[in-house]
Amino acid sequence: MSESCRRDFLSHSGRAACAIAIGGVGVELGRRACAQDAWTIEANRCVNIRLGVTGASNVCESCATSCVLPLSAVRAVNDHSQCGRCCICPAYFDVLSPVGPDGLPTKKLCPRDAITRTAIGEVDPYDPLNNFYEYAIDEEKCNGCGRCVMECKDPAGLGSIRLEVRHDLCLRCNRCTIASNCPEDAYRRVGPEPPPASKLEGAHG
Amino acid sequence: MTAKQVAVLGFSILVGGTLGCSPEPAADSPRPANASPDKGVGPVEPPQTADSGPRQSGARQRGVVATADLPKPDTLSEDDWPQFRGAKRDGVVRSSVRLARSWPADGPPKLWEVAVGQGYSAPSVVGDRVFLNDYDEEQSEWMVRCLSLESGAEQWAYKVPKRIRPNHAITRSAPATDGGFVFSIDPKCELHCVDARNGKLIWKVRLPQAYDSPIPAWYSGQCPLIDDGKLIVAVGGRALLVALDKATGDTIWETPNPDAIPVSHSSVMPIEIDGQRQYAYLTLQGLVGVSAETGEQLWSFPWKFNTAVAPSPLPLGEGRLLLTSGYHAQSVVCQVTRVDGQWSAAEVAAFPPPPRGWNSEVHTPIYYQGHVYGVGKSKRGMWTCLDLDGSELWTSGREASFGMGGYVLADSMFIALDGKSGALRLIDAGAGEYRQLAEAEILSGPDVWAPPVVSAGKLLVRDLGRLVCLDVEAHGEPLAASPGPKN
Repeated sequence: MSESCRRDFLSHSGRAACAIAIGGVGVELGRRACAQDAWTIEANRCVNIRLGVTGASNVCESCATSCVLPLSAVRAVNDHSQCGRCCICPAYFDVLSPVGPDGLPTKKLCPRDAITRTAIGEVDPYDPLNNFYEYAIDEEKCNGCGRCVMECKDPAGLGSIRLEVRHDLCLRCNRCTIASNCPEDAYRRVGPEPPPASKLEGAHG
Repeated sequence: MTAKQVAVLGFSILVGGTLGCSPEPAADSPRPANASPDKGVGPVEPPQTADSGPRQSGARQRGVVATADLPKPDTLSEDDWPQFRGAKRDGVVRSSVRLARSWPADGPPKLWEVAVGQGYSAPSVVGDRVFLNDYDEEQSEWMVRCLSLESGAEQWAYKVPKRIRPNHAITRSAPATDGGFVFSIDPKCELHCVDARNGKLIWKVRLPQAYDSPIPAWYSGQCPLIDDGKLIVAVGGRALLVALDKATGDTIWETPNPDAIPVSHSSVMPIEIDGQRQYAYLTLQGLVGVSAETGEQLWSFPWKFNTAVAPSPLPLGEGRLLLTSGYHAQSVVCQVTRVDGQWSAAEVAAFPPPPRGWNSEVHTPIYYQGHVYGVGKSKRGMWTCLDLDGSELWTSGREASFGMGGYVLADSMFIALDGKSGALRLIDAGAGEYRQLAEAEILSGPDVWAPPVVSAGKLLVRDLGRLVCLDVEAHGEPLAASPGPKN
C-alpha cells in the first residue's frame, strides 16, 4: 500500500470512527431523552373516556388492537374513590341484555370477563339490589378494549373507569402504533412536562 | 350528589357498621327466596289481617285509628295537586290562578323553605296542606311530613325507624291523598296509610313480604294511585297490580302475574279506552292494561326496556300511549283497540333508536295540544317538542339544557328545572319554538330531579336538601279561562 493510500485509509477510518462515535453519542442521548418520556392517554380526547358520548356500539378499540404487545399495555382502571358502587353497573352488566328474575341483567359486558363484583360495606341480604359493590378489574385479563370505560359515564355511570397506559408494560416505542391509529390524537407522548389534566370535562362535581 | 359524596356516605356507612350498627336485616326487608318461611325478618309483628297467610305473616299491620274515627275524603278543588302529576296524572295544572310570565332578576318571591333529606320525591297538596315523603339520615327515620302551604310550618310527621342508606339519594315517591287518607310507599316498598289530619297510622303493608317481590334497585320509585275510591299499586311478585280498600288495606282485586314480572319504578296510569276504565302499567317487559273494575289483564304490549323503567305510560288519546325510558331504550307509541270484545295492542310508531332518537330516563313527558314535550336523555337534556311519530319539531338547542330535571305545565307555560344546576326556567308552551320567558337560580345541583308542583299560585320545588315555596302568581291580573290542554 502506498503512503498516500495509507493516509487516505487512516483519514477515512478516522472520519468514520468519529462519525460512529458522534452518532452513537447522539443515539444514546436520544435514547436517554426518550426514556424520560412516556405514552399516555389524554382523557378528554379519548372517545371511550370522555363524557357525553354514550353507546357501546361506538367504542374505539385501537388501544386493544394496535399495541405491538400480545396483550396491550393499555388497561382499564377503576378509580374506586369516584365509583358509585351501583348494583346495576353499566360497565359490569350488559344493560341491553334481558333482566332476570333477580332484577339483574343476564349478561356481563366485558368480553374477557375481566371485572369482578363484590358486595361491600353494610350488606343486606334481604335487599341485594341496593347493596354496594366494588368492581375490580383483573389486569391479567383486561386488554384495554374500552367497553367498560365507554359505559361508565354520566349519568348512568360516574366516569370512574378510565383507560391508562401501564408504563411498566409499555415498550416506549418511538413510533407507537396506538398513537398512529388513535382517531382523536388522544394517545400522546409526554416528557418531563406535566401530564394532561385527568379531570374529565363535564364530570360530576 | 357527587361521586365524592357517594364515597363519603359509603365510607360513613362502613364506619357506622364497624362501630356497632345492628347487623340484623332491616325490619322492612323482604324475605329472600331461599329463606325459611317460618323465620321472620326483623322485629316480629303479629299478623293483623284475615288474609295474611303464613307466607305473608307480619306483612300487614293495622294502626291505632278506630274505625269510627276514620277520616273522610275532602272535596278536591282545581288548585289541589293530590298525587304524582296532579289530579289527572297528566302533569297539567288546571288552576284558574294566573301565573306571572316574568320573574324578578333574583327569581319569584320566596315564601318559605324547609330542609329535607336527599331525594327526588315531589310533594302533594290538598288545601293548605303539603304532604311529602322524607328521610332523616341522622335519626334513621323515614317520614311522611305535613307542612302548611302558607308558611311551611310542620303540622305533623309520621315517623318510622328505618335504615335506608343513600343509593343515588333515598326518597323518590310522591304521596297520594284524597284529603282524608294519605298513602305513601317508602323506599323499601312498605305501603303506609296515615290520617291526613294528624299523621296517625291507619294501616300498612310490607309489599315485598306480602307479595314475594324484591325491592327494586335504587329503591321504590312508584307513586300510589287513588282512583274511584280505591288505592291502586303495582307490587310485582305474586300479583302485578292490586286494588286495596282505602280504609282497611284489604284486597279488592289482584292481577295475576304468571310471568313474575318485577315491579318497576313507573307509576300506574289511569286511562279510558273505548268506554272502559283501565290501568296501564309499564314494566321492563312492556305495557299491560288492566280492568279497573276487576283487575283482569285485558291486553299487553311487549317492548324491550333496559335496567330500569321510571317514566309512566303517557296517554295520547284515542287509545294511544307513548312508552319511553332511558338506558338505551327506544321509545314507541302503541295503539290499544277492542274488536269484537277482544283487546289488543299494536305498535303505531317506533321512535328512532337512541342515541339519535328521543327518550326520557326519569320523567314522564307531557302531552299538550297534539304534541309531546319533555326533556330528552341525549345531548345534555334538551327541552324538546315532538310529534307523535317521534320527530323532533324543535328543541332548546344551545340555549338551555335540563339534564334530567322535572317539569310541569301551568297556565300555558312549562316550568322546568335544570337537573344539573337547579336553574328554574319558564318556557312559553304556545310559541312553537323554544322561547324562554324567565330563569332563576333558586336551587342547587346536582340531581334536581323532583317534578315541580303548582298549587294556588305557589310553586314547590326541591333539590337534594331543600323544599322551597315560591310565589309565582300574577298578582292583580284578571282570572284566565281554564288553561287545560286541548287534547
